[in-house]
Amino acid sequence: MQEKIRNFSIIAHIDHGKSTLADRLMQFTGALTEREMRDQYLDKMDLEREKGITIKLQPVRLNYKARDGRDYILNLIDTPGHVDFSYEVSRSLAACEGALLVVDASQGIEAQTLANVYMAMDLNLEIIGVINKIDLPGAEVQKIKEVMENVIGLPEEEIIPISAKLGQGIEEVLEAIVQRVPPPPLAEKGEPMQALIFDSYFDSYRGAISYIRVVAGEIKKGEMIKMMANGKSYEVAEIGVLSPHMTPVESLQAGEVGYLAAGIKNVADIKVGDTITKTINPALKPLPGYKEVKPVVFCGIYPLDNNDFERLREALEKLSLNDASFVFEPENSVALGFGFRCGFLGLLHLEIIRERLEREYGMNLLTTAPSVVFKVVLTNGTEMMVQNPNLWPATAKIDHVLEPYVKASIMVPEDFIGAVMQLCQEKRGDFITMEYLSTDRVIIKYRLPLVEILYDFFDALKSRTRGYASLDYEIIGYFRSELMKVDILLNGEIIDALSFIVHSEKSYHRARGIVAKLRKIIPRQMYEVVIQAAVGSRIIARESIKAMRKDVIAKCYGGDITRKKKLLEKQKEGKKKMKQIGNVEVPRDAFISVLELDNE
Amino acid sequence: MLHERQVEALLEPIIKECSLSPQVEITMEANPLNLDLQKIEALKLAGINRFSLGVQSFQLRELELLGRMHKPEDAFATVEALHQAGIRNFNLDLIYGIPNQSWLDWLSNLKKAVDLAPPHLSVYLLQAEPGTPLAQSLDRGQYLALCEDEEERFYYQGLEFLQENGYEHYEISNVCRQGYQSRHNLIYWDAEEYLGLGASAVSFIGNIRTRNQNSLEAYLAEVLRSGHMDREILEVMDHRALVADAIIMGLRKTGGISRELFVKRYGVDVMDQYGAVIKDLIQMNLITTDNHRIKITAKGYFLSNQVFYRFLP
Repeated sequence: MQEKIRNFSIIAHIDHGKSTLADRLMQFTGALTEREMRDQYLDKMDLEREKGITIKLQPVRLNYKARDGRDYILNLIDTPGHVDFSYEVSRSLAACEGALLVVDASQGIEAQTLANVYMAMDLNLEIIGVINKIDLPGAEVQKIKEVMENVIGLPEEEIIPISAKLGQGIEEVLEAIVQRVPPPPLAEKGEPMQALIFDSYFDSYRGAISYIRVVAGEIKKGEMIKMMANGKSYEVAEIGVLSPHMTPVESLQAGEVGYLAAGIKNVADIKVGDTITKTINPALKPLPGYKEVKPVVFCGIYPLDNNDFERLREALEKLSLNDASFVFEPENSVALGFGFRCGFLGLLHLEIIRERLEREYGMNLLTTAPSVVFKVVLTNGTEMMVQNPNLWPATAKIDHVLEPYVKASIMVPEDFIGAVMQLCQEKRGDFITMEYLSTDRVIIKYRLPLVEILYDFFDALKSRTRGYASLDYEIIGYFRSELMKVDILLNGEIIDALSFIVHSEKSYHRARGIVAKLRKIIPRQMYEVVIQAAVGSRIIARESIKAMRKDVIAKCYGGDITRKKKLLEKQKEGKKKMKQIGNVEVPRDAFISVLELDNE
Repeated sequence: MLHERQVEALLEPIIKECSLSPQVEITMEANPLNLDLQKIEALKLAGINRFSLGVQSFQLRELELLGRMHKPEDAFATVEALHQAGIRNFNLDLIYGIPNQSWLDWLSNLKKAVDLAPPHLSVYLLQAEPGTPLAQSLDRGQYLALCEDEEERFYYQGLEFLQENGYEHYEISNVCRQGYQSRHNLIYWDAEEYLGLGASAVSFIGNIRTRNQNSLEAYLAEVLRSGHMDREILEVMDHRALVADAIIMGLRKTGGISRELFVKRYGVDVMDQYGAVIKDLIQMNLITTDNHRIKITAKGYFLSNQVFYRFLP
């Protein structure tokens, strides 16, 4: 059995054609009928389609009759392509023996892709190099082959040139998978069952569903299983394979990939990377590599209408059923009332959750500016992790502060070395190294505060390098920093939801920028509004918005009452997008748009 | 503009068939260019007893900017003709907030208007409706619109001037000599029923607002064919919407609305139904109340949308 199975994933940068290739593989092997064939089948969610990114991976089983005349089962485990989800990528890779590295023939290899390839190599995966989009006019197949050989060590002659769009080279890829990816290791009789969870989602009928790779032993419907991370046990209600539709089977053997439903209520109980074993003859140790994924970016999410608090809680609970890496807990803001502090893997993750809350649950939300988790060491020696600026201790109590740093790898044509370095210096970066990947392409490494790359770093990087730069980063730990809290006041009242933590050298500039921005986005009110920024009791910036003087329909007679009332209704609707704070109405976007300062 | 014989033909059956009150108000709206003594006398004979003139301004620059065809002297001549014809009851429309208008420009317009002794004046803030040539010129930056602080000053100081000259301010944009309130317009602000005849005229009957067919040909064809007006429904209001409508229209009057009248007409005490809204608005100094009436404050006139939208259902 095992020798006919090949488990593989696809590593590719966004837009390099991963989804198109996956579609072609499915089409070629008949996993999808022509009728079902629609572009990019694997990317299910609307959001993914819109943003052109893959967030969730979905495994697919392909039945392939190879040139040797034998039938193979190829399990394709798709991977997300964004740095926010690198742990999920690592667990998907851990479920495979091989990976296709797909590189765009005119773009070349990107930093994020490189990071994932190294991850796959660390897991001893067989890497099959594929150059896609060879039909495009700008294709530089030979040059990219050389880079792949130099940087990753793939022999040039083994790299497969394809055009997923035109369907060229698809069979060669399938053959390479069969011939070069090793089959899963042989199961030993009687060994305890172990299965790796590499993804999960919530199905309203069957509960939490996990995607698993059976690593050892065999799992059957009806058996009792145990999650090794938390020790909870369940009875297997259904197991099956995805071909690509869910197809129940009686059992899954070592080496096989499929799904499992066991009446589990919460995806938090089936954590990605966890090991499933059986209650009878359990494995002694879990599979390596499991870790608790900790959110690194936090923000407050509040219902615009305070009465929607419970509805928001329900929506968050439902979403977290589907996404164990997203956390939330209730919090309370003087300005905004009751809401939730939510933790995310990164800004994209935040944006996805926020959009899903609004689209799928019809919530009208207000989001506060995202922040990282700071470590504050108090004068009495205790340490505090601060993920909400409002919990920042008084200056007198602070001994020193640390903030999370990342090691950023930026790949760029050498013409832009200066631009990249300048940007990194502006963002408080420390240069680490620079290496040439080929004669005209370099990888520059910098140590940077996470908070600096969160907001607009990537956009700035793209614009200063005319789109050529690519970025990858990993968190490397906490380092000491001169940070302070800045409060924003409206008519003398601190608006807690607008407080932020900033490096002391940037505090004045940023405070002035935010105050000016708020002046622009808060509409005139019935009263004058004074906007101030303060460090402690010291005001460091001030602007004011004059009181509204005119809001009148001068002419209103019989013929136009209906139309004039529509204007009033529009005005009433507009108020729904405002948050009343004290006597000031603040547009809900104010809380997040203060982030977009540097773009102006 | 209708010929005086057409007006006569229009009014004759109404005067004949309906028992009109001796105080009936029959107003003709006109542009100063279109009236002369002879015409006014003919219209008076046909039954017109009140005229409303679209004077807008007494300055050539402003009239041109507004796209008006008449000249300041046309307005003087027409008012003179009204006096000669013995028409005492007439209104002048004026516009303020015209691009580049100064306070002295506006004051001069007001003075000239008052000198003509109209018993009624409508003073409107210029609204550059989207798509009009004026709005386009403003968008192109050809003219500089006044800022809202200036518009507000022109409004309140203008009202003050008119009141000093014996005019009573009775609706956001309307003033009159005592006893000369526009009876026709009060129907709208009192949320009473009205019947609109003719193409694109609006009617409000019961809880339904309708508008007649816009095309004159189609309107006439339907009236001749079936004896009915072809009309579209603009609004069908439930009880709450009717009450809100009456409040919003009623609060346009400086006298405000009567709680007793609302109880009588709608079975609703406004103070009960809108207690929280009214409390907020009082706090903002936009309305005042006593046991009988709810009124907009002077501050509230120019901010009245802030009051009105809060009453929408």
